[in-house]
Amino acid sequence: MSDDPIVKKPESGFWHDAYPELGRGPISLEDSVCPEFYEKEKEHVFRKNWLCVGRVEQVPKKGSYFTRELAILDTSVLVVRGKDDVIRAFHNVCPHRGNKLVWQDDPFKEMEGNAPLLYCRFHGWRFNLDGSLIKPSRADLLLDFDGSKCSVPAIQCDTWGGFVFINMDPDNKQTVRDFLGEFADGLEGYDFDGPHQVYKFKAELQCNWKIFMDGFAESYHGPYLHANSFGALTEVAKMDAANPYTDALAYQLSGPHRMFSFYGEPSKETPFSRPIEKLTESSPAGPWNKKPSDKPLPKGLNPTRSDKYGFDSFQFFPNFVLIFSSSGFTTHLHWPTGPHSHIIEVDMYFKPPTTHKERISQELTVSFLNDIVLEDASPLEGMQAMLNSRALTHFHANDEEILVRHLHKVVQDTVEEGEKEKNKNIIAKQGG
Amino acid sequence: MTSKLPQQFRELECWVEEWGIEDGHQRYVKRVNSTMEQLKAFYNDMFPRGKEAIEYINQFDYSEPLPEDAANLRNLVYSLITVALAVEVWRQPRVKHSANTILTRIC
Repeated sequence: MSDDPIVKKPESGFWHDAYPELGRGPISLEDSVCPEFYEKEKEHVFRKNWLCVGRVEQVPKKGSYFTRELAILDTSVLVVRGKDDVIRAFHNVCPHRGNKLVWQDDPFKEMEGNAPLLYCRFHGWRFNLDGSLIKPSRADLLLDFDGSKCSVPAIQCDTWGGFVFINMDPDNKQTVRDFLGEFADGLEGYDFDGPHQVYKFKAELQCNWKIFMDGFAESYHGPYLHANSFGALTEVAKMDAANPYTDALAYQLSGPHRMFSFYGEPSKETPFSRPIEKLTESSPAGPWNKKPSDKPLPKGLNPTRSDKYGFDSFQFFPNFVLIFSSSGFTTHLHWPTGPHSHIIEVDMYFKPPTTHKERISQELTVSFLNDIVLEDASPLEGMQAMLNSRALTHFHANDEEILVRHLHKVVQDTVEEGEKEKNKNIIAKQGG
Repeated sequence: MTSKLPQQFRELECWVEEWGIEDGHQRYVKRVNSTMEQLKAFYNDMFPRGKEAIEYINQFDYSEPLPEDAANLRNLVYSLITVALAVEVWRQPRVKHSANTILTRIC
């Protein structure tokens, strides 16, 4: 890896000068409030792009499967590893009469397991792990029936870095690797393979998914919103000038995706360490006793090559956030459940501990981060309620909020272009 | 008779029933449903023995299941972490300004 920075702040001192097409004015907040916009967002943003639904480790063996209940796609998705080791995705539905195919006890509860074939409990029809029909029950009753046209409906499925993605658009021609673009180039060589020590959290919050992503798209809220958690440190950080503690080291935009690189409290004892951090030799940034990785960082991480580097956060369009730190990687997935609500899933992937002490250190990190996520989320439900009041029509984004501006612009542009295309097709049809 | 905790941690046995919780989500639920007085009482008893407890647990091979008394002690250390954040950081059972929102810990 070259030690040369791959990104530098423009001479002017404003990140926005590197991306003049973004604009600088107030941003319409209609995309986070309006129910009609939400319907269009569903259609053009979520149903036409690659969405991360899990990890390959969730389907370790032939016949392993898991289901995802995704309100934003109006469907339940079944991900299965086939006998040929290919990972496939399907609508979780039996093509005979439409019964939900894989579920137990509660049809709306996600599940995982292993099965030699897909079996419908309603009438006993059986399907191969690739979705094709093995055999309907009571073949003697069939009428005008073509078994080759009776498969479990497939959804495009692809993987990158061990993440499983689906795409609802049957006309999509792009691989997920191409979709992720140059950020994925920069992450080439990162050790995504397991085994991992995995910690998972989730919650449904009464706010639009973009409002939450915006909260993780800048760090200058640190000294204010995190005044309680990072107390003494933030007193040092509150200043009306360039701030090495809270200003990002770098912001980068790439197509519909974006990232920032951020200064981090080092994962070692500091004057601000709490008693429990000293006891467990750990902090939110990670255990102090972890061994440094023997692999060099891929070129896209720590893009400014700063010795103050703490973490990099990539926001892949639309709802997949991938954060790298010295402890490992963390994902945030945002699943809208309505215009003003969404489910946030936080999954942390750490190196497996080899001693009880290491496990206890990790417990401090994940417990502290759990609380920090709640602190980050704390303004959002009240904020959504006030956005819904329509007292405001726009909000403001400063130079450190360039990723906030970019997310809303990409979503709004995607919806606008999708609608244009749709109307063109309608007119073409009427003309013909 | 088997004891709930290793010999040298006997005086902490009164906490095992209440705070010897292996499941991460249940520990958190217990924290947010406790009063500060309850959290501080556990913290004040447990914290001074924390270092010794971690050293004790750490003697065991991580790839093997812990004996029951050591597992109880480890669960008390986990709970100490959960409770310490309320005592040392938030000075209340819940994260400040988070109303009644919590995350569900799946694993």
